[in-house]
Amino acid sequence: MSGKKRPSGSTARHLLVACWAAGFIASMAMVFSLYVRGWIADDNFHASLTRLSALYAPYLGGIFGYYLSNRAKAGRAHDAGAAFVLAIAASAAWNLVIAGLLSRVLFFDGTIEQTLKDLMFFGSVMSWLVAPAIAFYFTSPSSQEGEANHEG
Amino acid sequence: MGRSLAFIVASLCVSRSAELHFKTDSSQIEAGSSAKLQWNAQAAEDKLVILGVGPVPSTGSIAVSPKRHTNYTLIDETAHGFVARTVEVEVLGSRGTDFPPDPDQFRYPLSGQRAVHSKADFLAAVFGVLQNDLNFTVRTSSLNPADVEYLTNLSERADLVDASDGNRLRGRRIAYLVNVQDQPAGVYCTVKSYIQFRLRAEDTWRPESREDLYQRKDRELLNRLQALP
Repeated sequence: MSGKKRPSGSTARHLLVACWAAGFIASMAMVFSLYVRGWIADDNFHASLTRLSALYAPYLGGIFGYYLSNRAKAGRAHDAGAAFVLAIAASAAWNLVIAGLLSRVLFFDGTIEQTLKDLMFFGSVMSWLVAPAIAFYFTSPSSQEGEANHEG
Repeated sequence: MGRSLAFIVASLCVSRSAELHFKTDSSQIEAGSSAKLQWNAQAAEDKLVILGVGPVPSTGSIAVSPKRHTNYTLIDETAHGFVARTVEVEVLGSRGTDFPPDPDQFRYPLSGQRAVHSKADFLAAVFGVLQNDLNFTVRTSSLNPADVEYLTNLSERADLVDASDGNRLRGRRIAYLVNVQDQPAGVYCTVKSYIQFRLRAEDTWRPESREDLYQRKDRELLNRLQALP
């Protein structure tokens, strides 16, 4: 109907996992970079890792779990429709905010203590956006893998 | 014999300090209001100085309006040495100054003895160096009538960061603890410092452990005090 190609259910899953994995890896890499450069001390390094783990675990754990589950492999993939668009948009926004806050410390004049507070704040506030979007994607009606790349 | 001598010295100190009266009519004031400092040295020929205020007559009073918690220390220079008394004026609701929380954190004491023309002037000059030349907020106190302690706030200094730090640091700050004791031949000064640093991506101030920095800064200040007239 729209004339645009929508990604298959499988591709959608890959994209979602890639978005979260990239966000997590980038955030961790920035924290490690701060530590290796000697810009933050052990206590703040540990606090940063703990905070990032706490922020990512619910989403990344669930998404990876779903991605690796037999159910997903069996082809009960979602149609890459509105649910996917919502999930990927919310995920991208969430990950961009997290990475943006951390990059402020690495590339600008931010401090890790303030950033940890901001991460807590934005992580909590945005969870109301991200969690329903992801849940909606997981629970939305599925389509067969074979319907990949069908026209909307 | 030793105990008798100590008793005589202690008695002399008590009698000397008992002749000096220094008080304030209100130890707590609202911001913008004033407190009255009153003193009476009895011996009219004594030289009196209130640190941070200046020379004062042997008896009198003055109204002060500090912006924040301030200690006023009166120095009475007699023929035998000096006697110091301190009063505190707390300003309610004022922003606190960032003083080191614990004097035990000060390190690397350096001391020196010297003769001075006027002990009261020297004590005032030490205050001037710390407050006016080095731009510290200074809190004076006199737990013992024969010595004066100067505690400065923690103040960030660009000269405390050098090339060996690379770009790891956001800054360093320093506070001094200076003690001046009355001695028969002059004064005995002890200088100690407390240095903190914070890493480039942190707000947290951490105690500095670089001994060379403490030594350098303590030496600089002691030399400065030794050079005072």
